[in-house]
Amino acid sequence: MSLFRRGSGQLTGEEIPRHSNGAGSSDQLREVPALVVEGVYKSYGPVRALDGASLTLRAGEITSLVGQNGSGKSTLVRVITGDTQADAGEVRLFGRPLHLRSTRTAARLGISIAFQELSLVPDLSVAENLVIGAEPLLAGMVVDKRKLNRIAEQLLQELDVPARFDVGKPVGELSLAEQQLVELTRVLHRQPPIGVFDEPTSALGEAAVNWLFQRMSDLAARGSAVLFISHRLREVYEISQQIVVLRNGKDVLAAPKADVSESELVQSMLGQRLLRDFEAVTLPEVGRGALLALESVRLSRGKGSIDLEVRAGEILGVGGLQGQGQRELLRGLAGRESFAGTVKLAGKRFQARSPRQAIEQGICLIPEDRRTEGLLLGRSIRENIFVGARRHGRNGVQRLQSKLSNRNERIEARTLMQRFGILAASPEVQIGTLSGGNQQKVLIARSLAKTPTVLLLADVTRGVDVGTKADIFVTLRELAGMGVAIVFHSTDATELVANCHRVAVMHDYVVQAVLEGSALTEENIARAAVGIEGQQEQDGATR
Amino acid sequence: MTRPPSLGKWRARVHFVMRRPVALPILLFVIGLIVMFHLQSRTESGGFMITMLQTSLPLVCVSLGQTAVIISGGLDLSIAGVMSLTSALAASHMTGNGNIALWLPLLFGAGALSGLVNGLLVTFGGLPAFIVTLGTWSILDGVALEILPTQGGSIAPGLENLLGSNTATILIMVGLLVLWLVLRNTRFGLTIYSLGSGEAAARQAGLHVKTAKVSVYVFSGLTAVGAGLFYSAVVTLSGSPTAGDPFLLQSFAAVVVGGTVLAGGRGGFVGTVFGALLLSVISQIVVFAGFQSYYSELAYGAILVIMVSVYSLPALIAKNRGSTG
Repeated sequence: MSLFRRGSGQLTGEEIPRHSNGAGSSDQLREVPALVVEGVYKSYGPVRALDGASLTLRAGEITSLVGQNGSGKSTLVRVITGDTQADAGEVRLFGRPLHLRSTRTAARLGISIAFQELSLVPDLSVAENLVIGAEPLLAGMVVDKRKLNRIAEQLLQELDVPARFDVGKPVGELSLAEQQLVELTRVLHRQPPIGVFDEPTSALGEAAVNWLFQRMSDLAARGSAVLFISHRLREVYEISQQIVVLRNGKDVLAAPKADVSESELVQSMLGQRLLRDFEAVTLPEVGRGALLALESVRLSRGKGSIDLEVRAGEILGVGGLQGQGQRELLRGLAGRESFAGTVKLAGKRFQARSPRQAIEQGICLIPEDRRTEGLLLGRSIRENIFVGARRHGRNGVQRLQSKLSNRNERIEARTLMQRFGILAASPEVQIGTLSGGNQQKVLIARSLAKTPTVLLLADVTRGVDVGTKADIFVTLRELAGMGVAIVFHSTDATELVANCHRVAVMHDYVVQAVLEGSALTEENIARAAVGIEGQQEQDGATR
Repeated sequence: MTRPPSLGKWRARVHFVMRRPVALPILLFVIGLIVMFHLQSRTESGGFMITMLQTSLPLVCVSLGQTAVIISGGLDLSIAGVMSLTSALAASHMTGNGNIALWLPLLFGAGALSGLVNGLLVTFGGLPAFIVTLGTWSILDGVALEILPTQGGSIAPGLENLLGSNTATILIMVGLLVLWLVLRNTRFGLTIYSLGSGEAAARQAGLHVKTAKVSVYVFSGLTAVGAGLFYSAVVTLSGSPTAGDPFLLQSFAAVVVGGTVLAGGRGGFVGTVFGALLLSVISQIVVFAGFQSYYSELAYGAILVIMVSVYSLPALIAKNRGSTG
């Protein structure tokens, strides 16, 4: 494979030792790590995303970075690529301190990254996206389209990209997997001294993953330092030489692959929780027979189908890492999206075609993003609670009355505020002025103003304080006691174990495992979440 | 990997048009022209082509800037103010041939300055383009009224002769198209498309995002000055402190009818040119066919709504297909 010199020549800064293509000098390079991150701190408001994280990337090696959601992986990547600036700590590139102001500088210095949320411009062609920033110019001005396309085609060919597509086509018209391949090609062809791959495999099929691993190994063999981020432990073991585990913004484990067992890895990702957030509680008794049944439901990106049952009075947890299809599943049930397959409600076939239909059947979704999906921030608590409700009154006159006056609503809103512990001076307070926890409670109050048959909760406890969480769980248990079937999605395994009868763990848009009884442990959830088959009944060594 | 082969023929055709949205306004414009020729043989007015080009040139010119701004993901309301100010200044201060050399640079300078202010406020102030350019529009309108309180004034004969000839009209029209085609294929062009399509992605790719964002408003200011000059010197032969106002919504109409997406990232000036010409030919058809001129407003609106619906068809189809598959 010949090099695409034009691009890589421009990207490497003069002061930076160029990565070597020969095998002989790799020992020499190994002495000065390619990239060192030392004790980096970064806070977003009161949230500490990085808490003294360190990371060393060596030339010629593939290092994997693993950790749960919110462990700081993305922030660390952002620091390395200059997308954000650390509050404290040091980054050294080939031994020299690095102060990145922007992603432009990082790219110029040879730090190239394939982003998880693709950084492609959808309306530009494949070729333009690939060669962006280093386009061939006619007379120093106009982009030479033909040459551009030729270069792009050559690139795809040289890298043996496992897909055929027209390089003149806008990237937005490609499938997600194809887009991911373009994104990867853009990084690979530059042969950057530091290559970062942020969860590149989630959108790829098996053949493409193998291709990527081959290319990543090539890149490392040529003397680049490669950072690979993945939730799939199998892949991590397959490809990397070094493994670094991040937890709560700090590196808790950094070792050669051979020295870490899979269960050690999972253990260090989870950490020892000294205090359980919630005491053990008795869950209400579950009714018999499925109230809600999913039969061979297939999510748009899923490779398999989902069969699940929720009984009356049951709290079914939906776990797994973020973005594994939980959102699509819940939204589909609530009529906000559609999926293939059959849904039965109390034995009768039912597919909600709109949120309104779902609500009429008593299926109620509390969305994850309360700011954009749930609440009208500029309106009052009362208006938010009753926004979708039919006006009260048995006859026309009464309905008209209640249309003209908000008295009934105000009274009812006050009752609901009391019941759900919403702290505000009056029902007329603007909702945007409330705290996040209180906003969430308003959303719940709205959903429960009329008791639903099925209650769907989409990661509602995220970013909510402990006290509010406890309130929410008490409410959930009450509702379950009343015979409501509850589907509770959370990325927090501790919460799921403490509050659910059963937990369905999703991975890659299918249900990887359904855990209950003694198998319902944080460790098993974490294992299933990263795609490991089988479960452990008790703690102990595996592998 | 490739498109499913089971696409129906009509779907394939819709897809063809969607990949080349320019095809639609061109097609409709040609149809309009044929209708026009047909009507014209009875009314005996020669050279209507050139008249049509002349009357639509200010719109075409101002829409060039608007197209660029919209592709970059913004919008520019201040073009109306810039046109009005240009018209007012040209008719009150640039009345003699000797003044042209002095005032032309001043006028273009004023347009560029207004664009610069817009661009800086939008880019570095993080303010919404709508509000910022609404403000500059209003300010410039006020200044224009202060300079020339009523319609009137006079246009330097030299300017009129320079811009008014048929050759000049055609040259300017072609020049604008060439300017666009060159611009689109520079790195600047690439950047403004990237900006409208995904600003974050453009930044990640290492493009000079901020410079391009400011430049695009400056460019729009300049084209608005050009439009104002041509309008005063050739179309109305006088100045008006509100000359630009009718052009504002028309510029958006031309851009949209030409297939540029208001959300940015997609489209181009060629479509806009034919969008503007189409609107122009429609209004003339209405007049030639003996309808009252206000029917042209009705026709504008209908064309606008129909075109936008047609453009959004494929997305609608894709959405329906996606939800079942």
